[in-house]
Amino acid sequence: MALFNRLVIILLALVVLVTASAVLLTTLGVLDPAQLALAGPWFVDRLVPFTQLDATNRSLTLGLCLALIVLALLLLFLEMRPGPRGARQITLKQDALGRVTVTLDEVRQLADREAGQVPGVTSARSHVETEPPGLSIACRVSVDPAGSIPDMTDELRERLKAAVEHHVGLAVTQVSVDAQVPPMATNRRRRRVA
Amino acid sequence: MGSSDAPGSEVELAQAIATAVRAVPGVADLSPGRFVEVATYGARARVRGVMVRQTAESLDVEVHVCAQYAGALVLTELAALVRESIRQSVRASGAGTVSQTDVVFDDVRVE
Repeated sequence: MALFNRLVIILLALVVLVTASAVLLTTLGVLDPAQLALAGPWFVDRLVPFTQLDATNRSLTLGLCLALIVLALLLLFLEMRPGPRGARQITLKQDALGRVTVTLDEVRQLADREAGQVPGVTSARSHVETEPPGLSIACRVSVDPAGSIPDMTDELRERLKAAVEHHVGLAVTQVSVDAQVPPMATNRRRRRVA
Repeated sequence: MGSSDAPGSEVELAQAIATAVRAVPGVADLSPGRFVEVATYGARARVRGVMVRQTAESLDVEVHVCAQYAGALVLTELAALVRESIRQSVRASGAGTVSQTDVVFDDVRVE
């Protein structure tokens, strides 16, 4: 349905673009309607009046044609640009009854949520990739500098692996953690020298 | 959504499936799809999140689900419950038996 609508709009935009361009060129005197004999006598007859416009109507016609050309080009651009990439999915199960899939983004959110539960983690951002035979998780976390970072990252690895394997049912083959300590707030003042 | 489509039509069946799937514990809602709308279309109704393809030989169903997050959530187990609810719903509506049921988890909701 969406493809059909898109095709209709592209066709309409092309018709508007060609017609407005023909009228514009005819009004400017660049194109003689007789040169468009291939388009058929009906189209040529419609163009002839634009060769005899007075100054006011000529300006109005030129402005209208330019507006229509811009609008048609805009519509063509919007309709012909590539659409958003579909969500990447991973198959959790496939059997005679059908397939069970989950979007990779949801697995990432589950990992983010679990990482956020680990004491000492202030924020987390994960990246999940499928790496047969399982999943690979790269997690970047901001941590509280008061705690032990090695202990925290060990716990984070274990919890991420256990949680994702439990919820998703696929083996997690690798968990890498990139821990960052947020910069200390500084209270420096610039001294003004007289 | 109305029920003005013919009884036994794909839309009627999709509505029955949607109701059954929403009632499954652990399902927060149906998802209309993430980038492309997933729905069954009728003359006056549209059921989002359920796609029913009925042919003379087979009946295929695809449902897009938002799961409810819980510590005990296991997506494959939830998918099995969803499949079973679809199977029972289709059987109750007298539309035959389901050949293929695809379950897509589009979202996991946390309250």
